[in-house]
Amino acid sequence: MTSPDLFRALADPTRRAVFERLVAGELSVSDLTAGFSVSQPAISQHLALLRDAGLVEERREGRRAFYRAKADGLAPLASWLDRYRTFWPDRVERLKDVLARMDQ
Amino acid sequence: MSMTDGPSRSAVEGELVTEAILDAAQAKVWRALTEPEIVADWLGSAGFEARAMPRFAIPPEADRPAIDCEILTADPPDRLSYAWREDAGQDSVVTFELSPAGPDRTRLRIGHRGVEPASRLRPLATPRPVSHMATRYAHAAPMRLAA
Repeated sequence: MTSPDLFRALADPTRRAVFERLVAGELSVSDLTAGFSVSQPAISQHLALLRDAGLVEERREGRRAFYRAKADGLAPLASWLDRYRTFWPDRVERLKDVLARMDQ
Repeated sequence: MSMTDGPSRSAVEGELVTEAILDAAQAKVWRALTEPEIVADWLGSAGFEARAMPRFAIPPEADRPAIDCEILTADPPDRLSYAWREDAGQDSVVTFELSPAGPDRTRLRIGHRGVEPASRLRPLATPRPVSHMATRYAHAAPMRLAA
């Protein structure tokens, strides 16, 4: 089942960019902030939402926190897409059959 | 969706697209998309109750939860969109677009995209452009049906 949070998490362009950077490798909040023109608190907020959506995970080392993309974070989205990638072509074939039987 | 390669730009923006050329005039295709008994024949699954349109439900199938549908916009005979809510799952919007493709032939484009829960979908009574409700979400390359 797809979490509504997953779609919400990916809806924001900055958050999506943060996620994409973390897919490439683990980074600290300050490493991440250096790459964006937004404040560290804003980045932290994006990270919290990404974590709630199951897209990133946190690792603590003393007072420092490191983030990386979760390996299976996009799996619910992939299964949602798989479902409709076959659903719609199947329904279109049925629509063609129905049209062939209809009167003008 | 491989995490080692990372999602490509196209994988995190856009919608799932299905396209087809239908051997029927546009007005006839529009009827098939909007008349409850006809919709039941191609979109429904066992137990489909079309009488309740513009709000209706598609019963679950083996690999799919029940869907609660509600028509959001209807611009005959060109464009029709549904709110598409999975039972205990994801809200999305399905948009059907029709255009003529020659005598008695019609191009159909079905676009399906996720929406964020914060922007709860509004029914026909308070129409707004579908593009404002849609959020972007991951998808693979658009899939196209052969004509």
